Amino acid sequence: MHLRLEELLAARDGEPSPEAEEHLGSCPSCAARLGELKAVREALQGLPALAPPRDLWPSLRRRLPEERPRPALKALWAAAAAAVLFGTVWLGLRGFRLSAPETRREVLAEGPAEPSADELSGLMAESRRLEAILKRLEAGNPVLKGSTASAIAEIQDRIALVDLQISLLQGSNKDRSLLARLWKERVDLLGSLVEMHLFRHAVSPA
Amino acid sequence: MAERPDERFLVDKARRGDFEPLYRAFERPVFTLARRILGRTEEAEETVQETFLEVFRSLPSLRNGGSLWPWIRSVASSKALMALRRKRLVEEPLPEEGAWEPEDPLPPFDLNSLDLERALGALPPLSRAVLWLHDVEGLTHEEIARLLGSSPSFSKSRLARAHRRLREILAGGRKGGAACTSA
Repeated sequence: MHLRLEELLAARDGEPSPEAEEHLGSCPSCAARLGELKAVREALQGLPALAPPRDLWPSLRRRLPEERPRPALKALWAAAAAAVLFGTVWLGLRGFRLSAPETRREVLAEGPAEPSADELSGLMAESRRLEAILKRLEAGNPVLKGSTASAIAEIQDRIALVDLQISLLQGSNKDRSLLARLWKERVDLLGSLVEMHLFRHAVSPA
Repeated sequence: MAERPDERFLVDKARRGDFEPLYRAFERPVFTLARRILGRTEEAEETVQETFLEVFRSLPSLRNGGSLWPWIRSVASSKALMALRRKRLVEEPLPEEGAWEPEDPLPPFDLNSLDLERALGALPPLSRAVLWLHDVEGLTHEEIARLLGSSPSFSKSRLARAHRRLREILAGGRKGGAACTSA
């Protein structure tokens, strides 16, 4: 029997299993296939670099002034900490229960146990609930400026990346723990966005 | 890509408002990565712009002394994968458990760049992305897994799938070959 392609690729990348290494020494077909995989990689690496067919700099330059350099991470953390502190107090007064997702986070952090369907659906429901709150908050005060806009944009970027990761895992029964962690991260990021909007509402002039 | 000796100079200039030298220094590798992953020029151009906007926004928090290309490559890879998602190009069914059969050697084929370019363009988008990021850009399966929010084994199976399909395309869809009896 020949080596599986994944085994051949591991051997090509310098990480052969002992069994694969032994097999390669006695199977000319697999050794030839390994050589072929190396040749394909070299050919791919030898493909010419590409240049954009048109100069992108003028349009990029026009967009740059709209994009303020984000404040240094320390400043972001300080702003986020202030927002969290305020948001926690405010939400506590409004009866908004931050404790529920926190509890779930502790449960998930305890070990590699597979999340139950209830836990996953709970995180998804929490995500939908926070999105609905966010929609109402954004509708109430859509104008964003300065460092708040940058911080919110950064969190939105992270949510987009989490969404990408979730979409890649959807439909697969594998990696349910990872899927749960991603939904938890999404809930946390949405929670941060809600808190920042609440903070902004509170400090903005009436 | 080798570390550029003038990277600190590029960053200093960019922080003072002159961003173009940094853009020019990395324009081609970023476009190449985006174009190879996305397969379409227009989307690659947008990814280039989004990448450099992100680079520009992140300049204040950039640590001095590190090499720029791994960071810019990571941003570009992330943006390209986001573009795949936006275009719903990643909706490929996952391989069934146990679907991998032992490989049979295939007929010989010629590796010329034109055929290779065509074959690369014909790959499913996510497989093409993993192939390019691993075999050309040199990302490890762990790094690709982090970008995809998946596991290294997922990245490995995608790479194998990409090579299988690439081989089929290059060999013109022919299959066959000698038997091998060793274990």
